[in-house]
Amino acid sequence: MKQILIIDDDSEFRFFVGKNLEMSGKYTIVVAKDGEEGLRKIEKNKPGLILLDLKMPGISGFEVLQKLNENEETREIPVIIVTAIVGVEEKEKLENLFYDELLYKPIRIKELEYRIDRLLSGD
Amino acid sequence: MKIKNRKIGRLPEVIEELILTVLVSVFAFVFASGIGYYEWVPFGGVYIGLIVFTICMLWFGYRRVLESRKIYSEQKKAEKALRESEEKYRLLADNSRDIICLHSADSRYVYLSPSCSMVLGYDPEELIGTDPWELVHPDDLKPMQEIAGKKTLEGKSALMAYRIRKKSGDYIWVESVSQSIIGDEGEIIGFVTSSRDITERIKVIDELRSSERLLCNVIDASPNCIFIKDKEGRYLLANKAIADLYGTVPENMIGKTDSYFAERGAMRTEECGLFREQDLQVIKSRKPLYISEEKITTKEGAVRWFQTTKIPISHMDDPDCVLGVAVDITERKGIKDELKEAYLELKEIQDQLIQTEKLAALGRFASSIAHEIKNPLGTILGGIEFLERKIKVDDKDIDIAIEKIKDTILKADYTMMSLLKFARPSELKRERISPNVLVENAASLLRYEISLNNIRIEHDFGRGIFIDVDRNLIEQVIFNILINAVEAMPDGGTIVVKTSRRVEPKLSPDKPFCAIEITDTGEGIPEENLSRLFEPFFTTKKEMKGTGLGLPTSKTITQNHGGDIFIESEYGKGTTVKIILPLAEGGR
Repeated sequence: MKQILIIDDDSEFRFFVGKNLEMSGKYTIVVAKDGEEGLRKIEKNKPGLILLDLKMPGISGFEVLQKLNENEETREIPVIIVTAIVGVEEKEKLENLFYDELLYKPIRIKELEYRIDRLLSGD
Repeated sequence: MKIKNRKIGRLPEVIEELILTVLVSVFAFVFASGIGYYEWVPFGGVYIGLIVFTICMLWFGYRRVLESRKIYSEQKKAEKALRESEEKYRLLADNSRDIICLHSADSRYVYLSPSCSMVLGYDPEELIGTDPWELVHPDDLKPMQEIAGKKTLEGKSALMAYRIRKKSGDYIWVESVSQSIIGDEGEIIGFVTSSRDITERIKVIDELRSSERLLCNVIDASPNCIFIKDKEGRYLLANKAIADLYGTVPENMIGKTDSYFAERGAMRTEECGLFREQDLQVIKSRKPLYISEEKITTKEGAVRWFQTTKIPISHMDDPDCVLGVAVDITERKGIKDELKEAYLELKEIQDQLIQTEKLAALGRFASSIAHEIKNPLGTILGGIEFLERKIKVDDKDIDIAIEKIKDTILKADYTMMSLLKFARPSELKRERISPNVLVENAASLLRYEISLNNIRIEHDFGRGIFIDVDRNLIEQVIFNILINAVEAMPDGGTIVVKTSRRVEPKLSPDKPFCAIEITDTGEGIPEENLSRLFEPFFTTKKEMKGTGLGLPTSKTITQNHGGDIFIESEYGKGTTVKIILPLAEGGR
């Protein structure tokens, strides 16, 4: 089973999305409450896919993405950004970074599963 | 002057008296002889005759002596008076500052009063016998001789002003009165002339004239209209500026009224009436009148603007005159109007800036709100879906309730996204495209709704029209308008979409724009709602169909493209929405 790392400062979001994905029985879920914890868990667990929030206290989602992009070992991990909104400045920042999908909250779990499965199957 | 000499005795009178004496004596002799007196006295008749003769002679002699004595006395008296008179005249002539001269019949000086040396520098003796014309300035000689000749013929005195040469060679101005002296036979025997030095007077007159000329030049040189009118409105003074305005010269204006010029088409009757009213007001109130702006239409029909001051003044014997000074402010007014226009333009830009700043603030506000709303919405949706999966209950009502909750969450999210789009218009990615393509694309997205509601779409496309727009945004605008039209016709109807190239007076008086007009045959918009259509969150749609942001967002997008949206609607008949956009450069 592929491991999915959810990095989001919203504990309720982490909880429900994690539970919903676990219930499908296809993935194991690891969660991180901010960028710092996320990076640590990436290094430790080498997840199969990352759900990443952008706006977080401490190390933001952009910095996490930057670190992932810079490291050859983590560069290939699929990343789905799940965020509330992306402003003009944030869009500009994202233009120089690699990621696989950008999804906006609120998101239906079915759609999320569809995207995850597509990325994990290598489509 | 005619002078007669009185004679002292007359010979015929003596002879008359002698004859009378002889006749009386003869008569006495005859009479004495007749009555026989000689009979009593020898040679009596002779005696009587001789006695009468002697008495008569004595009587006449006595009378003559008396008369001679009277004549002698009168002559003495006359001589005395003449002497006194001559002395007076001599005194006058000798002491007068004027030069008194006597001329012979051929004009030569016979006598000059002593003032001659003071005025001309010549001693009188130097000039006696000379010709006075030789001293007269050559330029004055001819006119003077003409006047002198004419007056002499008429026997009148001649008054002349001319220049005469002094002994020093300088000329001075003199004024002379000349009168001919007539002899006993009526012939001219000479002239008497009185001449006065008027050089100072002439100088003062010259200075006055020169100062008057200067004043006239100054008044004429003024670009402002300067005039004086009497109480009847007749021009007493008019400078070149006002004469130019009336298409005439200053001299032609004197004595005439504004009505005179109005009758001849040089000015407008209504303007002329207004000027007269102002003049009368000044005359009546005796206070200056300031007119900040008034127009005068010239003979050629051009309108010029003036700032006029009218002041009551007295001129000659008329205390009720009006002095007017009118300053041409046409150019200044033009600049003022331009400034006003620029100010309004600037104000509009400022309003737009304020609007933009408001939108920017709203954008920032909306962003933070969106972040705070969308995150919990995400959690709620995740939670509902978790519960949905976790609690497997075979109850349709619960399934419906869960679906409704999920729809509401997504609807709230849609509203939030619409607000973001309205508040934070994204940067335009312009491309040259035909509006017809955009209409077709937007309509294709509504194919399902159109067929469902039994609606027909008719196209009236103008050809060769191109616009330079962000196609996604304008498609969204057209889509918003079309969906409104569809929703306005729940029982079906027709939507006509017309594209054309036309002038939109609300945006520019002459610049052509691209117009996309979408007309439906729906229920129309009540008049009270028309003014609120572009208010954010204003909606009449039911069952959460509308966010109230579609039209405001569409208007913002269109305005960001340099266009606008206008809506005309008649309740019960239908609505036309005009999307106006600038034409692409180089497009027709």
